[in-house]
Amino acid sequence: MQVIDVSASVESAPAGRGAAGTTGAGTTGAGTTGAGTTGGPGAAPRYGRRNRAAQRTRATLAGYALIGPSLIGVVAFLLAPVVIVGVISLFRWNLLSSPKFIGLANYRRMAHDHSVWHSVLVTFMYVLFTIPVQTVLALLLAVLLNTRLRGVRVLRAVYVVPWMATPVVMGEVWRWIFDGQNGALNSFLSVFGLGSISWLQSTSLALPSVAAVGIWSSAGYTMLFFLAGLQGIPEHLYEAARVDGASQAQQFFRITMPLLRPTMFFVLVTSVIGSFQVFDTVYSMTTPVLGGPADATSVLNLKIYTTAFQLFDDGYASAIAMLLFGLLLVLTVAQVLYFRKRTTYEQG
Amino acid sequence: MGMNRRQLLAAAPAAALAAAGLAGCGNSSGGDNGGAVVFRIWDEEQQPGYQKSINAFMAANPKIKVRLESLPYAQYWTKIITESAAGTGADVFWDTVPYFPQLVKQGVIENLDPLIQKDSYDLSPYYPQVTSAYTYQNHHYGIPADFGLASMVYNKDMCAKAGVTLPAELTWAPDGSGTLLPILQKLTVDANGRHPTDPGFDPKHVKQWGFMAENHDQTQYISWIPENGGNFMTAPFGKFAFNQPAALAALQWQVDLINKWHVAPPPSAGNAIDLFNRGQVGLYPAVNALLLYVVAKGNFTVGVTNLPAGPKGRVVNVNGLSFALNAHSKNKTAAWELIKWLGSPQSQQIMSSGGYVWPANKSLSGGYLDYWKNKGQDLQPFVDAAAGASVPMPITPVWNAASLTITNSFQTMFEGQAPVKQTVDNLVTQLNQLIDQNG
Amino acid sequence: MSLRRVTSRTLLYLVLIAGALLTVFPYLMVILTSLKTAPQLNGMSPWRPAIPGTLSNYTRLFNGKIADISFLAYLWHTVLFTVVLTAGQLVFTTLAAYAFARLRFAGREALFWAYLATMMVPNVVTMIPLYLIMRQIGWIDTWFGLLAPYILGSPYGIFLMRQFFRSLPSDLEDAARMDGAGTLTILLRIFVPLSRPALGTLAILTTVFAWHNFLWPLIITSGDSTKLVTVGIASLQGNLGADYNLMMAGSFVALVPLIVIFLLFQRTIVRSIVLTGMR
Repeated sequence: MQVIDVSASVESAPAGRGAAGTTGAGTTGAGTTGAGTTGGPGAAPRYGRRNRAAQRTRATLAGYALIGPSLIGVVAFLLAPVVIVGVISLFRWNLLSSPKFIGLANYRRMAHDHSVWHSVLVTFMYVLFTIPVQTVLALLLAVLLNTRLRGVRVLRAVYVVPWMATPVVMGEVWRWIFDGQNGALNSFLSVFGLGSISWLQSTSLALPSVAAVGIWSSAGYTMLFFLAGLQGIPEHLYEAARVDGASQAQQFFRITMPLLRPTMFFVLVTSVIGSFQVFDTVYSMTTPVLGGPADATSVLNLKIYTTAFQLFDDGYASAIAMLLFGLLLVLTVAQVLYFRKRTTYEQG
Repeated sequence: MGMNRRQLLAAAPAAALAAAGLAGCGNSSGGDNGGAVVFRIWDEEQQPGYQKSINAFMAANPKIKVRLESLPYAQYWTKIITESAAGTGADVFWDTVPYFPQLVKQGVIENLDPLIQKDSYDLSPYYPQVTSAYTYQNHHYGIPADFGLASMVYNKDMCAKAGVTLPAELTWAPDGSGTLLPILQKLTVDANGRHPTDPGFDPKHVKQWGFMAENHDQTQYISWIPENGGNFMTAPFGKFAFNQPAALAALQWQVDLINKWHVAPPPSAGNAIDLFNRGQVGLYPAVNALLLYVVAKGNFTVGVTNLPAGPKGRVVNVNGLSFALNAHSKNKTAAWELIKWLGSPQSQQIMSSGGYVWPANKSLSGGYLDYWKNKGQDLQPFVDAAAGASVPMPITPVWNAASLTITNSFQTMFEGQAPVKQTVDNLVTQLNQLIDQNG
Repeated sequence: MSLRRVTSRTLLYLVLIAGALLTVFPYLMVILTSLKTAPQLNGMSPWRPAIPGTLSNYTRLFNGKIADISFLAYLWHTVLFTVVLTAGQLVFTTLAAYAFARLRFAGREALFWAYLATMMVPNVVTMIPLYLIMRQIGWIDTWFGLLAPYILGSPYGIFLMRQFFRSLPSDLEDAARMDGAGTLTILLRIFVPLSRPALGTLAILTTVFAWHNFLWPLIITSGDSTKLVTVGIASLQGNLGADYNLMMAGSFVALVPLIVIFLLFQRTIVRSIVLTGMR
């Protein structure tokens, strides 16, 4: 619960600042100054303190009316399954016969299971390989494609093709590219006298290769969010900066980056979650030895899948899923704290 | 079941499980499906054939409506297992040897013996190896659907170019004697045109291999081991035994083909079928169902020949799918009628003459053989193998887990990065522990 | 100045085009493969074009010779699924996101974290409980069961829109409130027009998500009458081998509508007039 309390104030911080910045430059005073003190943007209007209780009730009613449909969907079809997975993790269940309650035995077993911790390590490596490159690349692309160049729309479409392509099929194509014998990559490298590298069969290169495909498929997609975020930054801020003689780089770091913070927050949180759950790419690129060679690409989600559907051990698979959940929760809270801290620092 | 359920409810968090219907399996929900039966397979290629068969069935049984479903293979079992967890699922479905032990032990599929006895259903027309593969504690849990076995496909053009004529009988022995190895050495060529027997042969840059020593159970080590007098398992539902000397020597032979004689590509060279179709491999042990994916797929003529025979002769893995009856089916009477039809000579004849499958009914393979004869393939080697000595796939409830582990460890072993004895000893110990825990 | 501008422009183009080529190269192989026969595929490197090529894979795709049903039927199911799902998501996601971003109500943060939490458990394990739930409701093999988990708004989309709504200045909203406008009016009249770039992004996102949705449709529905394009393509990959040529033809056919939709929706990803005019 504490986690949630912390976040309540946390998350409003970057957005609040962004909003203040946006209005502060153009209008005078009247902007969102209230947001800072009441702890959230779009806080209840400042007039009429008399009816505060009534207003709060009304806001709560309005709030629940608006989130109502999604609440039904999320609770019944997304949250309930998550809770049930938590419950299943306390059982021994092979999916086919009746489950048996075994308390925390699955977790105790997990604590000593080297293969699970190996998977945790592999997953962290994958995330470290993908997230920084993918995010920087996406931001760079968004900035470059946020111009009024001719053909920019077509270029944007080209960059998101990897994300729109059928994953099963792309896994196959990437195997052709990374193929040690006849692969496109080795053919290309042979021009420089290199070649004959078994990318996907090497324990040291398999994970980076899979990560490269992950970056390839997500960079353009992530770009879309930055592109939308960039459109939300008012043009006049840049004009004012140019009048003041700010360089392109200065404009980027002083205006673009701070105002993209809400977008950046979203992108980082969601792509970390996505990367931690990578499955399709690894699955299609490492058949028939799933997660191979020698478990070099055995990411957590693959481990969960094989445990549940090939080893018929859903209780244990659920426990591993809960471990993944715990890791992601910690990382998300850490990101929330980081974004708050950065903001406070810059403000102070 | 009742006992387990009480235990379950005793535990506080189990309420959530019960709410989700986890505890109450199957029989609670009634509802008559009015003669509707779902039949599930995973092969798009066979779907038209089965549809034809089912149409004939529905014409003869207007009260039963059959829906045929074809799923992607990669998700077939994921779906069946998820449905079984919820006590639902297709009434009739394809069952395989690797999944059979789990399904039968957990009560997912129905014991057919009462129905077989009631209708005096005759099981003698089927290949006995298939019938017995779906037997558990002397009861039948599936009606044989088709028949599959291994022989060898080869690149005729490559052999002609190398001046190689395959003898009627290829032989091998762990020490490298026999007629197979010299032929493979002739077919294998490195980037400079040298053969493995030539001085200066470069095993790192081979352009063309004589053989495919794939990391694959059914077509490779499941045969090599008995052909050298070893056993993969002690018995169906028994223990793993491929760490015995004869089995070890057979596995060493497969490793040697790759790393000592250099006549077969290591696993890292790529997918077996792709290498063969690109014309980079001469001889390729394959099951008959693979013909569909190799004949006329590359720029060369494909031939069929016998698997090489070992010191103990030729021992071929035979296999087959069966039609299983879902224990959760709400319409078992109609489902059984459908299964009987699918096993009948009429239906198996439809599948055979269309070239879809080699049927499980022994007397009906003619249509299938003719189909391939028309495509220029004489399947006599498969027919010979079917009449010879055979070995089943390992039958154990832990096979899915085990085969994953074996494939993983063997990959390193075939790559030449781990010694055979150590790999196998570790594996057998580990897998037999798994059997003790889950058996 | 002008010369410098021209050089930097040219350089920018070069970089962008080089990147674009690198990005589509793998997809180029999909298209090339779809225009080859199997022997052509195996007889040459996959990045070389076949001359002459063949359209036979595309005709095979549509003449109903595979699996007794035309690929067109799969496409139609996918279109139906995508349209309904995207429409529902856009509406409900926007409503919820606005509430999370702009209204203060009891339990808001706790609920938001609960929404986020649902994204943190992989669907390979949540799928089984979800299936059990659907069985209790009796929605197995129905359009309800297929759509229910997504149509009422996704946490992902809500998170996206919430972040965007939060970054909008609140003076317009305050002014409208002073004038007595209700919550819904403010949302529809002020926030929605201001959020065109984000809504466009959400629309693209949801469309592609729905179009590619694979595992859940495969698990919850059965039979050809609801089979989606993704499942149809995956079915071409068999146990022993795959018809790559046909698969890649199918994949390309499935991509074209997405590109069209992307080009349509991306028109909205431009700076909103209200926002720029608001100096």
